Order: sequence, then structure tokens, then C-alpha cells
Amino acid sequence: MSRTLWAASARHLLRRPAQLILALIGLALGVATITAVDIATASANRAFELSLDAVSGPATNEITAGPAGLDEQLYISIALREPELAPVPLLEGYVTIGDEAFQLVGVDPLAAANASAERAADGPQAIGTLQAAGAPRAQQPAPGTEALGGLDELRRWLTEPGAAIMAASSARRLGLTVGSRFEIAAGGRPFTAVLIAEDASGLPGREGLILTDIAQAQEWLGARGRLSSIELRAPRDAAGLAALTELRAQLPHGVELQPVGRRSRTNLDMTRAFATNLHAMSLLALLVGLFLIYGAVSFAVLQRRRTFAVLRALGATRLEIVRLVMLESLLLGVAGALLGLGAGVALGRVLIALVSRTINDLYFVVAVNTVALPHGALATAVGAGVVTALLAAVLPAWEAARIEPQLGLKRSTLEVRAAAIARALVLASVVFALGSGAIVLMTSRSLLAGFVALFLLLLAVAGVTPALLGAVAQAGARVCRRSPVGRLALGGVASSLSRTGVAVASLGLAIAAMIGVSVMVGSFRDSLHEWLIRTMRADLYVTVPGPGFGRPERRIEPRVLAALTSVPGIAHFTATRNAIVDSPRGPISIAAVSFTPQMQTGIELVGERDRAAREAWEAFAHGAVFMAEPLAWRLDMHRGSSLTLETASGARRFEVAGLYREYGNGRGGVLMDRDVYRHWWGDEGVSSVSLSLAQGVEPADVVAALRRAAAGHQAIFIGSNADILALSMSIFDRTFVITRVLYWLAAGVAAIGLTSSLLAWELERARELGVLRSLGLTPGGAAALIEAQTIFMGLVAFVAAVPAGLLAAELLVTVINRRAFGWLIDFHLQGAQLANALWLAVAAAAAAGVYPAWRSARASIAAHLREE
Amino acid sequence: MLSAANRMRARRGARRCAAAGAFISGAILLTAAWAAPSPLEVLRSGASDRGFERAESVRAFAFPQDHGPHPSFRHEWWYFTGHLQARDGERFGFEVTFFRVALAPAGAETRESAEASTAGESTVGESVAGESVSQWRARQIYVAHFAVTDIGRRKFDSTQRVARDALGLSGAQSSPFRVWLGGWSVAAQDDGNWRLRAGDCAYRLDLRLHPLLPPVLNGDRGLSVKSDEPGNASYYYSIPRIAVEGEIVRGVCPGRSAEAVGEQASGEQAIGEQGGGAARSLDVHGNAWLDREWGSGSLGAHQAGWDWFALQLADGSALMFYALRDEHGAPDRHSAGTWVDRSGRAHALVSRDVHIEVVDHWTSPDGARYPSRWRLSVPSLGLDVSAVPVLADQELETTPRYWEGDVDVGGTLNGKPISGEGYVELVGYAGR
Repeated sequence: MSRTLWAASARHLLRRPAQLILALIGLALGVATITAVDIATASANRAFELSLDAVSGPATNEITAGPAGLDEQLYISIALREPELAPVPLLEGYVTIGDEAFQLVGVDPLAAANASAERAADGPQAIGTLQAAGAPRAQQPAPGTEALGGLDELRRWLTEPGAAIMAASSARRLGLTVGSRFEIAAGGRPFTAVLIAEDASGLPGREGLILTDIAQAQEWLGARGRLSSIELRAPRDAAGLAALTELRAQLPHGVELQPVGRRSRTNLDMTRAFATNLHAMSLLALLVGLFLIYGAVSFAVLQRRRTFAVLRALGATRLEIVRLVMLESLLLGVAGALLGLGAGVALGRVLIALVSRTINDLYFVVAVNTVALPHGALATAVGAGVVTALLAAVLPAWEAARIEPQLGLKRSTLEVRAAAIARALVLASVVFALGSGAIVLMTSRSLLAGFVALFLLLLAVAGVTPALLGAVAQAGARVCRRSPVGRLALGGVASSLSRTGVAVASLGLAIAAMIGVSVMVGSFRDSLHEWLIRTMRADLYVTVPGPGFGRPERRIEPRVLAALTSVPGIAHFTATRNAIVDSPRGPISIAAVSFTPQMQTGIELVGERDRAAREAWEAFAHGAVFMAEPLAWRLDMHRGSSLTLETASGARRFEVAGLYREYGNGRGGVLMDRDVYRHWWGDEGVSSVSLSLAQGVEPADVVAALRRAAAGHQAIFIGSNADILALSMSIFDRTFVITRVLYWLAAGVAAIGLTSSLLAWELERARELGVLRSLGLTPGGAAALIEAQTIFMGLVAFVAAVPAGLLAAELLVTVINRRAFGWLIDFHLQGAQLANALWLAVAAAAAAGVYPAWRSARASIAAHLREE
Repeated sequence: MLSAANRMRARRGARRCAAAGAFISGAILLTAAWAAPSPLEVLRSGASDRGFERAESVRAFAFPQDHGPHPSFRHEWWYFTGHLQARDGERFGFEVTFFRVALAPAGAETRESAEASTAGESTVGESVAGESVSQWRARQIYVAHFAVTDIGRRKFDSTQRVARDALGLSGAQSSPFRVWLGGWSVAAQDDGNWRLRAGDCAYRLDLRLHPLLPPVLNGDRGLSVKSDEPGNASYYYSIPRIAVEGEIVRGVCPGRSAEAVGEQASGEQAIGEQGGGAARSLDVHGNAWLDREWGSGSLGAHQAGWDWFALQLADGSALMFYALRDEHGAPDRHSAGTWVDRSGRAHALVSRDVHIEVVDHWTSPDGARYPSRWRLSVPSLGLDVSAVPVLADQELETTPRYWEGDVDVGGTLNGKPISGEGYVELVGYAGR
């Protein structure tokens, strides 16, 4: 029996390859999106981890301090007293070569040599073992220099101004060879570097590094006398622990000794919310894929009602029919998932660029050069695809199993049942919607719960759509009583709910998601725009270009600052220092600002009345801080909380005098009076100045004068408030490019689903069309009938999607974004967003109808009738 | 408690981890690989001595100033070797050496930085050359070797350290005399003696050194010519007899506590916990030798290495001889030495004065084959002695490796039996 079953199944599927292919594409797109997002986020994380490992090497612990770094004398005293801890000084910063950002790492190779000898001290042969393992030799830089025993390289490293080493691959990319001179910029200050050797090891994590001597790094980064960290290696035993404890007790206030990488790795946590968002979007694509498979499989079942009935009459059991349908779906799922995996890997490479650009904009500089393939995550994506296909087949399989061993149910019976199911789905939708609301009300911080609520909401839309479609089509048919074709068209939609319902539901889902996301993005954009206009009270802003946020090397040289601020035409100015300092709750970014009264109005304290605001500013001047809303959300703090920060003289508590609205920095920070910052961190640097011009002064004249003042000293970025506004908005748009890409993917999947449903429907009602044609319907009329029906369905999908989309937007704005980032966003709805959604719904539906319409217009009446 | 086998496995595992760690590790190790020059490397480097003063003619030596550094020359070393004895008769050999290596002549870097440091206009260049020059800038580095031969326990321990001449990490000065690298130093004290302090996790030395003889000038009044090429020479003096007293501390290195605990010789006193086990201090006295050499030249093109002997005989006389050899192992005619008689008078020896017969060889775990037992005869002095290493493996784990070890000396001088002790250095046998 089963051979007959398989043969029947294969024949059927092979005769209708288009449908099969569409279902495959739909599922593959869903899996591909998940895979791509996994790859992109994993690659970014991996690149970050590798860059950490590449810098810290085999160290176990590190000594670090605040934004101003460590005094180099601390290293000297540790090197003299504790050589067994293998101390190695490091100074890190960001530099640019051309447009490309690199991490500059200043090292002392001699300290590193002592450390590696010390680190091998578990036995006198250990150094030999290391050499035998080929480790140091493999890392020997340029070939041909071995004859000089490496001494010549050490000579160049220590004595040649600008000596630097980079990965061979980076050198190739930049067109450099050993001996090349190139320009390197640190905090806008240009220097000449010379490539004295290439790191040909090809080890991952090295591509983004420039190595230079610690002396050179201090000079380039303008950090004379400072170090970023001291790496240590302590044996992992009681003695090592004791040595570390003893050292920790001797460290000055504000200096931390901790396991290596712990501090930097907290950076990674900040990108977690971002990654969650991406994953949610990719799940949405798979959800749409689920509907698609459901559509394909249920049509495959519906089309074979007769076949199944015959097979049942020939002795096939219900179980065999179920097994057949499930197996078909499983094969479809496996094939689609594997296709999706391949496509996802390709798509992932594209997404990596988008993801790393977003991370660089919002978080930290990371050079993603290698594609990480997270095996576990990829297996999950494939599994999700297969499970989706099986889930989608459960209902149709059940349906197929219920077919009696006769000539099958009458279509009318089937449609009656579909209408009943549609009504049941409405009930389910109500439950989903209530559940979604309950989840939102019952949880307050869980991002996952927020996403679950969002999905329930979208499912509710999908559930209610078929019933809506049926109701609207019936009502429409009654309204169009005088037009037989219109009545036929609408009546046909209403009476074929089993086919049209699912397609319209999945389109509605995609449209709702699109409305939700675009309204959310639009609201965010408007809020940002309003905030920028309010915040930017000055006319001109001067800062130092360069990668990374709050990097100490991004500071305006004192003499440049003096020259800039004495340019005529400036009424008053505000100096700001950006820094990232440690706290028990992870790194906190600080903007230390010397506010003028005019500038204070630019800060919007959340929920403070005038008098309270005055008191808050009073407290601010006396050492309290203002905390950005996103940070306050993340740390669960509010006005009156106290925030502990690691100052240059140890941990100190700062009162939070108020919360302010901020979108400038993804993780939020604190605002502090610059005098307070200088007092506690001893950092006199200035990252940016904002200049307010005197009345009647032409900004262009001042800009020219500013450029002259800085020329030859430092590259500076001068922007007018309009420039900054435009720049901020373009960064914002860039950040959300990835979101847009994902919802277009979801809409694409839905359109493919619709086409697939229409094709199936068109095949099924071939006879109906044949009869209509024989009654005088022209080929064009048949095409118009089909197009009218699909456009109608697109409209219904839109109507169902609008309220759901708006609810989803509200959920995204007030729940998801709040929980993910802590941003306070005002809900802004623009007509254009709905118009876009309408356009998308109609266009997707019309496009989906083109091929079926063309097919039926082309077919002869005889062919239509013969098919039955 | 770990069994011995488990311990071995654990240690091998640790080493493998260390090797793997180094392989995947970082930026800092990339540069560490070529940062450990040894004396041979400096001499063989062939780097230009342009801009450096050269040892070309006889000079007048003045002490104590000449104990200090001579920075106008490219390289220089302070080489202490000696023999220690504890009250209970335990014997140790030690080597503490400091090498000064100039990578560029004085003034070179400031000249270069003025012309090439910045791409911007001159103002930034000024600021780099001016107030913001890093204190880490250095044109010379110091390398130091520390080795102890623990004869009773048949153990040899060595450590190399290296540091730049900046920020007090390493350096040398003449008045008062001091040379140091990190915590290792030799420094003149108020009483005119020197104090030597050095050590690693396994052994620490704190010794007072009292020269018993004035410096002996080697070669032609201190000018020691190494090849026919002009400038391939150095200024070279020795103090062949230095009275030593002080203490040696046996420590316990991390990860090695299990094997060291339990070995406890009588007469040791615990001086506190360190490195997971008790550190043991021993009062010692003995006899040391100082070799001082500085110059700017290299070895000749065909010179591959040398064997250096510093033998202190029981009657107060001493023999220093270095045998240079070419890449085929044949002796070089520039080999030379000095005989210091009982009264402290020096007599120069040339290549043909000394006959050296290698009696035995030793092959290191890494495959380097070293001579390991010698018969030295100087017919003109009536000296015929053999030198026998107290321990075969006294190879220093430096880059490249070399052998420098304590030897027992015995034989005849003018027909009468004579004994003594000495140090032998074997350079150029191990590849990189």
C-alpha cells in the first residue's frame, strides 16, 4: 500500500513544482533570516573576544584605573618588587589610518619577554618547550631578519620614530610593505608611522591591531606617563592568590586588580539588547514562513482530497495518510531549512557589515573580519525550520486523515467547516489578545515577555483575519449585487475561505509587523529629533574626530582649545569631557559639562516641575549627577538614588539629582559638572566645546577662524547645530537600516505566500473559470477578476493589520524599546506610514495575483473545463 | 597528595598549556620573541658600529670610574661568577651577569625624531620632541642572567631578564658604582665593598663582595683584540679573586611546591612562607671572579663562538683563557688569556701558549653537543690541570642557549699537586 501512497504523493508534488518551490522559498527565507542574524551577532561578539585575547595574551589578571589610566610609576614599582607576577604594561587607544579604525596597542616587548620567561617558570625546560612548540618562532616577523637575530628589529622597534607592526593582511589591504611610511591619526593629531615588520601569524584578532612601543603609544595618544593596564600572570594556586591579594592591598585608591578581560567583557553585555531585537525580527520572518508552509501543505491536501479518498477506499489507513502528509512536510522542512542555511550564511556576511557598523556607532569599535559560524545556533535555526514545517502540517494532516473512503467531501461541506474554523479562530484571537495584554500588565522588565506579548498580538491578528475576510467579502457581495462579476469575485473569496484565509492572514501579519516597526521607528526618530532641537542650544560644536566613545585620546589639545575659544565672535562656550568610568554596575559613560545658564535649558529633566528642577540644578552644582533615562532604567534607579563610581581616589557615591531624556548614547550615561569631574578624576581633558555666537556674527566666518586656529595642530570636527542634527539623524537611520531590511524580508515572504495560495486556488477553481469563460468572460476579464480578488484580499489584510499594527507599535514603543534600551519614546503616528502600509499591502497582493491572472487568461476554455 | 606520576603529568600538562597559551596569545608575545639578545647575538649581529666609539688603541684605565658604564661603546658587560660554601659544607656555583646593549648611538634618536616624527606641520613635531616625549624612550637595553648550580641537590637554575634603560628599570652608573636590572643589582657600599643581589623564585643571593686583588688588565694593557678586522676588539679587565660572604635563599617556585617540600637539610632556617612553601636561608662564603669588557666590534666573519675558562687555584694564582673558534670548530689564532701569579702579577698568554684537550662531551636535551671535560696545559708555566663540570647540565635557557658552569680543577703546577675551582663558558654550540 505504502508504495502506492508514495507514488501518488510524488506524482502530485512533481506535477505542481511551482507551489513546492514557493513553499520551499518561504521556509528557506525564514531560516535564512534567523541564520544570518545568528551569524552576524556571533561574528561581532567573536571579533570582540578575539581582540581582547589578542591584546591580553596569557595574562590572568589586570590592573586598571579610570579614564585617565594608570601612573606608569605603578608599573615600575611592581616590576621591581613583584617580577614573579610577570607584569606587562599596556597602553591602548584607537587610531585611524585613512578611514579605517584600528586599536593601537603600546607594549614593552622586554617586559613581555621577562613575563614569558616567568610564565614558563614551572620548570627550567619550559622555555625550551615553548621554543620547540615553535611558538615564538612562528611569530617571528619578517623572513630574512633571522640572520640578524632579531636584534635589528628590536633596534628599529625601540629607536626608530613611528615604528609599528600590523597584521600582514591589514598591511596588504592598506597597500603597505615593510619599510613603508604611512600616516596615522590619533585623536585628530596626525603622525608618521613606519611599518618595521608584519605579523604574518595570521592569528585571528590581530587584523584590527597596530602594535607599537609603549613610548610611541604614549606620544601618539598624548598619554605621557600613563598606562591603560598592567597585565599580570599569577599561578592558579594559593600562592598566586596570596601574591595578588597582597598586591591588591598595596594599590592606590581608584586602581583595580581583577581577572583579565572582566572589565572589557561587560561591554559585550551592552550589545545584548540589540542582539535580542535582531533575533526577534528574525523569528518574525520564520513565523511568516510557518503560515506559508501551512498554506502549501493544506493546499496540497485539499487538492488531493479525491486521491486520498480513493487511497482510503483502496485500504490505506488514517495513520498512513497522516504519516504521508507529515513526511511530505518533513522533507519540505528539511530541504527548506538546508536551503535557508545556505542562503543565511550568504546573507549573514552582508548583515555582518550592518551589525558591526551599528555596534561601532552605538557601543565600541570592533573590526569584524572573520565570519563566525555558531554551530549550536545554526543547528537551532535548521531545527526551527523543520519543526515549523511539521507544526504547519499538523492541521492539514488531521484534515486529510478525516477524509472518508469515498469520493471525498463535497467542497461545500469543506467550506462550511472552514467558516466554522474561522469563527473558532476569532475566539482564539481574543484569547491571544487578552493574553498579550495580561503579559504586558503582569511583567515590568522582562524583554522576553515583551516579545511574547508582541507575538501573541500578531497571532491574534492572523487569527481574526480569515473571519474578517469572510464577513467583508459577503457584505461586499451583497453591496455589489448589481455587478455579477463583482459579486462573483467577492462571493468567491468568501466561499473559498479555506484557501484565501491563510494567505490573507499571513499578509496581514506582515503588514501589521511593518506598521508596528515603522511607527516605532518613526516615533523614535521624531522623539530624537525633538530632543536634538531642544538640546542643541549652541551654534557651533567642535570635537575631535576618531573612533570610539569617550576615548581619552579624543581630546582637544590645550593650546588648540585656548586658540579656539579666543576666536572673536564667540559669546560664550561650554566645555565637555566624555569618559567611561568603572562602577560596581559596569562601565558608565560620563559627560562632564561646564554648563552656562543658557545651556541648562537644553537638558530636559523628566517629570520635574520648575521648582524641583531648580533644586535639582542646585544639587548638580554641588556634586550630584543627572542620569539618562536609559541608564536609570537599566540600573533601576531614580531621583534620589545614589550611584557609586570608581574615581581616581577610590569608589565614591554620587547622588542622582534627576533623570534626563537622552538618546545620544545607546546605553545612557550620567551628566556631571565638569568641576566635579576634574576634582574626582584629575582629568583636565576636553572632548568637545559648544560655542554660542554673539549676535550678528556670521557662523561661516567663525568656522573659518576656528579652522585657522587649529590648523597644523590637530584635526578637529566643526559642526553647526544643523550639521549635527543632520548627522545624528543619518546615524539614526543607519542604525535602523537592519530593522528595515528584516521587515522587508518578512513582507517578501508574505507576498510569496500569497502568490502560492492564489496559484493553488486558481488551479482548484479552474472549472469555475472555464464555465465563466464559456459564458462570455473574456480572457482579460478573467485576469481582472483574479486581480480584483487579490487586491480585495490585500485591502482586507491591510484593514485587519492597521489596528493590530498600531497596537504592535505601541507595544514596541512603550514595552519592547523601554525594556530593551530604557528609552522614553513619545508615540508619533504619521499618515505616510499607514499610506505606505496600504501601498505595500495592495502592491504585494497585486504582484501576487499577476502570475495566476496571466495563467488563467492564457488558458483556453477547453483546457479549463477539461481539467475537471 | 598527588602521586609522582600525576605530578609529572600535571607539569607536562601545564607546559603544554603554556605552549598553547603562547601560540594563541598575544601581541605582547609577538614582540617578546625577538627581545632577548645574548652576548653572542650582540657580537654576531653584524649591526653597524657607526656612531659608536671603537676599541682601537691602548687606553688608560682609572678605577673606580671604569667599573661604571661606557655608553659611547656599543656593548658592555659585568660578569660575576663564583663559588659558595655553607657552614655545613653545601656548595653552590653562581653566575650573575649584566649586559648593556646600545641599539643606537647617543643622540641618534633625537636627530631622527626631529626629521621624521610627524606628518603634520612642524608645531606638532615640536610638541612631540618637547614636553610630551615619553619617559619610556631608550636607546639602550640591559640584559641580565642569573644562574645557580646547587651542587648538593644536583640542580641547575637559570633566569634571564631584560629591560630598557629608562624609568629606572635598568641602568648603570660609576659614582657610586652601581649596575642594576629590576631588583637585581651590584652596588658599591659605603665601606668600599660591593653588594650583589639577584634571584628568582628558586634561589636568591644577597652577597657582599670584597675584591682581594686590583683589576688585572687583559690583552695588551687592557686592549683585547678579537680578530684582524679593525675595531673587533674590546677593553677587558678582570678581578680574579673576590672574597664573598652573605646568604643564599632556596625558595619554592609556583607549581613546584610538591617536590621541594620535605627536602630539608640541617642548618637551614625557615624565613617565612613564600611561593607556597618555606623559603630556606643559608649563610655562605666563597670566592668570586669579575670579568669586565666593553667595545663596539663584532666577532669576525668566520668566528662561531668561544670557550672561556676562569680557573682559581688553591695557591692564589688564576688562569683566564678564551679559545675562539671558527664555524668548523678549528681554534682561532686570536685566542688569548692571562695568568695571574700568586702575587697578583699578570702575564699575557697567546693562543700557542695554551693547549686544550677536550676529554668528554655532553649533549643537551635540545641536541646541542658541548665539550664537557678538559685537560689544559700551559707548558711555559708548568701548569697541567683538568677541569671537570660539577654537573653536566649547566646550560642556560636563554636565547640562544649557552653553557656556563662551575667546574672542579685538579692537576699539577710545576710538578706539585694543585687543586682549584673555576667557571667555564661555552658559546656558539646551540642553534637559535
